[in-house]
Amino acid sequence: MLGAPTRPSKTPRARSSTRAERILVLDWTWLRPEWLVALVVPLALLLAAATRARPTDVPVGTFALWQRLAAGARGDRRRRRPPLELLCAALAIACAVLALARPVTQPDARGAGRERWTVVVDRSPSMALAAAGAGASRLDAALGALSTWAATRSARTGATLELEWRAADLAAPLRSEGADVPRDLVAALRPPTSRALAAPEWSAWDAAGVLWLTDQRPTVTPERAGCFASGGPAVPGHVGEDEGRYIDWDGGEALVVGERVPTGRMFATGTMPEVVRAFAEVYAAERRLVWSGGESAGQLDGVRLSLAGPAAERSPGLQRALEAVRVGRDGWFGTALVAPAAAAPAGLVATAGLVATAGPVAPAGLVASAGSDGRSALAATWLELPDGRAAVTAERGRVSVGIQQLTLELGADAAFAASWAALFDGALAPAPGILALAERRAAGAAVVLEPRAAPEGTPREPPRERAPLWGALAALAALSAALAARRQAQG
Amino acid sequence: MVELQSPFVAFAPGFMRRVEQFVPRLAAARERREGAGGARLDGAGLEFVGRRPYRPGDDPRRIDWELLAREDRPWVRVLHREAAERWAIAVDVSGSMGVGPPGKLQAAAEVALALAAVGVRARALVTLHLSDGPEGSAPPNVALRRSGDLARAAEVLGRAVARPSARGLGAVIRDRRLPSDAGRVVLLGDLWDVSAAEVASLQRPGRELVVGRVLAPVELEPGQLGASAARFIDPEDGRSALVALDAHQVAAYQEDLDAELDRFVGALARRRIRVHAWRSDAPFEDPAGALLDPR
Repeated sequence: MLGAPTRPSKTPRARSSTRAERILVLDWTWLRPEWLVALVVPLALLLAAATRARPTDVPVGTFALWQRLAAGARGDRRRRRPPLELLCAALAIACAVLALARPVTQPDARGAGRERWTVVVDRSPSMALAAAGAGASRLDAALGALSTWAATRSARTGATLELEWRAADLAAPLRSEGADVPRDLVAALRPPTSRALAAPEWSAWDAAGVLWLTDQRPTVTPERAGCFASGGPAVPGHVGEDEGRYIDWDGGEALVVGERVPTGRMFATGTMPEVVRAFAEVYAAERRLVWSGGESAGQLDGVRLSLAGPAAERSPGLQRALEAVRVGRDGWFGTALVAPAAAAPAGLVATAGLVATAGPVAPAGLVASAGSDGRSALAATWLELPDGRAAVTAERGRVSVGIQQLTLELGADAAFAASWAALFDGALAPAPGILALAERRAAGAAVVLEPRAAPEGTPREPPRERAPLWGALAALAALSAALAARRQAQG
Repeated sequence: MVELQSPFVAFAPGFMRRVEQFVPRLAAARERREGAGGARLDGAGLEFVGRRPYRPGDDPRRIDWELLAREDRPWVRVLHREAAERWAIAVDVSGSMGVGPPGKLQAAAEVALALAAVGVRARALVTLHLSDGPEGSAPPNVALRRSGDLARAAEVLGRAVARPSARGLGAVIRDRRLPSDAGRVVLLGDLWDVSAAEVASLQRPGRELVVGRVLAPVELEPGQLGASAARFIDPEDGRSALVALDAHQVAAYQEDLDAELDRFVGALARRRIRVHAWRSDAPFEDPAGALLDPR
C-alpha cells in the first residue's frame, strides 16, 4: 500500500452504491433499539400462517363430498400461501415497529464523525534502513502498520480519521485524511540524508490521540498513546571516520577500518561578514572539504556543512536601518550590524537571517516555530543578541548567520577562530553513508500497541434523526394496515 | 393404511349407571305414547294396565265408554305391550366409524346399549348386530332378554373396532342378517355406504324402522380444524383429496352436506322411516331418546 499509498478514488458507481447502502438498513442506527424486539410479532404471525398452511391429514366419512369439491376447485398452490391480508398485517406491524425504533442516519459518509490523531514520526536515520523480511524501509513498514490500524478503526467506528503528522524537523505539521498515506507525505517523512535527527522524546508524547511511529519499540511503554514500531535487523556498515577512512561495523562486535571517505563539501550562501567567510575557507581547507561559495545547495553533492548568511540587501533604505550591537562569546567580542528588532518590517528578520528564540518550543521541541524559510526550530542558538534574538544558530550540517557585518575587537582573532572552529565541528555532518552504531543495531521485532485513549475533544456530530425515514415507515405501516383491513372486509 | 383417530369403544366407568337412570325415564315416556294408542308394532297382544283421562288426539277406540257413562267424563284404557315384541339393533363398524374424536363408533355403541336396555325393560327380545367382526371372524350377534344380558352386550360392543376393511350396514342389509319378524329395527352408523333405497328395503308392515346417523364434529364443522388446507382421506380405501379450507370451500362443503342429509331424510320419510342425525360428541341420552320417543 505504501508503494502506491493513495487508493484510486471511488468510481461514481461505487459512490452511489455507498449512498444506497446508507439508505438501506446497513447504515441505520436506532434511537430506541428496544423496539426492534417487537419484530418477532410479525415473524410469529407469518410462521403461524405457514404452519397453518401446511395441510393436515383428516380421515372423514364425508370424503366423497370433499373429493367432489377438490375436483371442482382450481389449483391449491395459490390458496396455500398465507393470505394477502395477513401479509399486509405483518408488513404493517413490521413497519410500525421500525418506525417506533426511530431510525437515524449519520451525517457523514460512514455514519459517524471525525477523529483527529497526531502521528509523531521518528525521523532518525535508522528509519531509512530495511525492515525485517521486506525490501521496504522501516518507515514504510511502520506506516503500513499504522495504515492498517487506521482502516480497521475507521471501519469499526465509522469515523473519518484526520492524521496530523509531526516530526522533529518539520516547520509545520503535515495533514492527511483517511487510512491511506499520500505518496508525497511519505516522501516528506523520510529521514533527511544531510542531517541525523534524534528520535523524539516519546514520554512527552504519551497522550490521548497520539500515535508513535518508529522502528524500535521505545523503552517507555505508552500508557495512552499508540505505538507502531517496524522493527528491523542489524545493518552493518560505516559508523564513523578516522584519518580520512571509514570505520565499519561488521554487525557483531568488530569495528574495522574501511575504505577512504570521499571528499566532502562546505559551501556558503548569502552575504556573510568577511571575517566569518575568511575563517570558513580556512576551516574547509583544514578539514579537507571543498569550499564552494555562492552556489545553490541543491546542485551540490556531498555537502557536509552549509553556511547561510543573510540575503544581500538591495534596498539602500534597509541598509541604513541596520543597527550596531556588541556581540561575543568564548573570549572574543566585536561589533555586529544586524537588522533592528522593532523597526524591521515583516520579513526583515527572516531576510536578515535572525531567528527568534523566545516563545515555547514544546513539547520536546517538535513544534516548529521558525518562519517561512523552512528553518527548523531544532537549530540551537549559538550566538545571542542583547535583545534576546539569535544572531547565529547551528544544527547538523548547517550554520545560519544573521549578522551583516562583524568587526572584531583587537586581540580577539585567536579566540574567534577557536570558537567558530568548535561551532563548525559540532555542526559538521558525517561523511556519506555513516550512521551511528546505535542506529545500525537491530531494532527488534515489529510492535503494534493500539492506543488506549481516543482523541479528546474530537468534534463528533450527533446522529441526525431524519423525519422522512421513520415518517415513511409509519406511512407504509398505515397503508399496509388499511390494505389488510380492506382485504379482511372483502372476506 | 389409513390411521383412524378413534376406532375403539370404551365405556366410561359411570356409563351403566347413566343407562340405568335413562331407561325408566324413556320407558315411561314410551308407555305414555305407545300405550295411548300410537303403537304400530307387531306383537302377540296388549296388556291392560289402567285408565287415564282422555286427551285430544287419543284413539277414540280406547275410550272406556262405561266409565264415561258413570263418571260423565271421558277416560281411556291404558294398555301395555306384551313381551313377545322383537327388536333388532344394527351397529356399523366400518372404517368411517373410526372418525373422531369423539369416535362415531363409540357414540353408536353407547346409543345401541341404551336402546337395548330400553328394549329389555320393555320385555322385548333384543338382538344386537355388528356390521362386521374382527379380522377373519363372523360378525357377532347378541340376544338380550334380561337386564343381566346387558353386560354381555357391553362386552361385545367394547370389543368392536372400526377397521378400514370392515363391512358396513350395507352388508347387513344385503345379507339379510336382521330377523325378519323384528317389530322395531334400529340402524346406527354414518350410513355413507348405504343408499336410502337399501334402507327402505328393510321396511315391513307393522315394523318401526329407525335410522340413527352419527357424524363426527370434524365432518359437521371442518372449519374447526384451524388449518388453511387439509388432505381429506377416505378411511376405507385410503384415497385422499387436498382441499383449501377457506371460507368459501367450507361453506360449499356444508351446503353439500346439508343437501345430502336432507335428501336422505326426505327419501326415507316418504316410507315412514325416521332418521335422526347426531354429533358424536353429544351425550347418548339425546340421540337414544330421539330415536325411541319422537316428539
